[in-house]
Amino acid sequence: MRKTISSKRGSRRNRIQDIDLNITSMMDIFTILLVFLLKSYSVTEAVLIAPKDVALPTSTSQIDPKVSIDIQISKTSVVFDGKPVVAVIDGKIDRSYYDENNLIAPLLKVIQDKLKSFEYIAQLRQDNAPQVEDTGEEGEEEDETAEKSILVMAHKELDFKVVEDVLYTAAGAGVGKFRFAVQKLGE
Amino acid sequence: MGKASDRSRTNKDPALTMFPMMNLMVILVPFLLTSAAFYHMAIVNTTVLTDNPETGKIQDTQIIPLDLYLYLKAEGLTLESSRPMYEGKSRVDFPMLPPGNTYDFPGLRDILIKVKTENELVTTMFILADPGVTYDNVIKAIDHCRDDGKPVPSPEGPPMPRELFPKVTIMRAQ
Repeated sequence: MRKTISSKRGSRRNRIQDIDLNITSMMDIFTILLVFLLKSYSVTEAVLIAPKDVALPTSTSQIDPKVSIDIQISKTSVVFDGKPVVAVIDGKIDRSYYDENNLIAPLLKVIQDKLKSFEYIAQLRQDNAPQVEDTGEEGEEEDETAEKSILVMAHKELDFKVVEDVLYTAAGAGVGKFRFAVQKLGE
Repeated sequence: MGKASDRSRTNKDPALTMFPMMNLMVILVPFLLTSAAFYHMAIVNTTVLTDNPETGKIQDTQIIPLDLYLYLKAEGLTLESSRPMYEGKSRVDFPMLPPGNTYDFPGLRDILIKVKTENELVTTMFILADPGVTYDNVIKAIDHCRDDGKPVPSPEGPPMPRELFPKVTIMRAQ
C-alpha cells in the first residue's frame, strides 16, 4: 500500500516521496491465524451451536452429533425447536404445567405436533418416491427416520429432575431415543 | 533516453506484490472465524424406561442377562442388582468422598470393571437419580459406566478404552 505526500521542508522544489507501508508483521499475524483456523476447522455431519445460557457438561464421549430436533433446557426456560415452551423458575418447572400423567403438557403438545408433521412429510416422500428395489442402505435410512430421536442441550448445573421430566414428556409424545449434547473432554 | 529509463527501472528494488495474497487472507480469515469450533461437541445416547411399549424400550435388546441399577442419591452412589453381580454381591454402596463431598466415580468404575469381567454379555445400565442430583453428575455417571477409561492401542483406529455398560436407560426414581 502506498501513500504519496508532498514535502517542502529542506528543499525549494516540491518533492514527491513514496512511503511504503510495511505489511510483513500483518502478514505474519494472518498466516498464524489462518493456520490455526484451518486446523480447528471441523468437517462433521452436524455443527451444533450451544445457546449462550446453556453451559454443557463435559464428557469423554466421542460420538459425533447428528442432525435432529432439539430441546434446550436452560436455567430460565425450556426451548423446543427454537421456541420457548415453558419457564424454569428457581431450577424447577411450575407444577401447573404438568398433566395427570406427570408430563409437561405444553411441551407434550408441541412435540406431538412436530412428530405429526414429520410423519406427514415422511408419508409424502414415501408416496412420491420412485418404486425401486429395496437395498440395505435404504433400510438404514428408513430406520434412522423412524427412530424419532431428540437432541437434548441442558445446562450442567440443572437439577436432573427437570431434564428427566422433559425426557419423559418427549417419550410420552413418541420419542424413543435421546442424545445428550456434551462438550468433548480435553478439547 | 531509452537507455536511461531502462537503467532507472533496473535500479529499483524488486517488490513482491502481496495484494492478491492479502485479499485471499481477508476473505478466508473471517470465513474461518465464523465457522470455527473452539470446543467440540459430542453426544451421549440414552433411552428412557416408560410404560409406552413403543418408546420405553431398553437399547437394542429386550433380554438382559443381569439387571444393573445405579442410584445417584444425596448421600452417595448405590450399585444394585436383583442377582449377584460379582463375588456373590448384589449391592455396593459408594459414600460421598471428602473433601468437597463428591461422588466416588473412580470407586464405581473399579467395581464396574469387576462386574463386567464376571458378566461379559451385559451391556445395559439403568440410572436413577434423586431430586437434587445435578445433570452434570448424571453425565459423569454415564461416562464412568460406558468404559474403563484406559485407552488401549487398536489396530483399526485410535486407542479405545474397553467398553463396560455403554447402553444407558434412564429410569424415574420412585
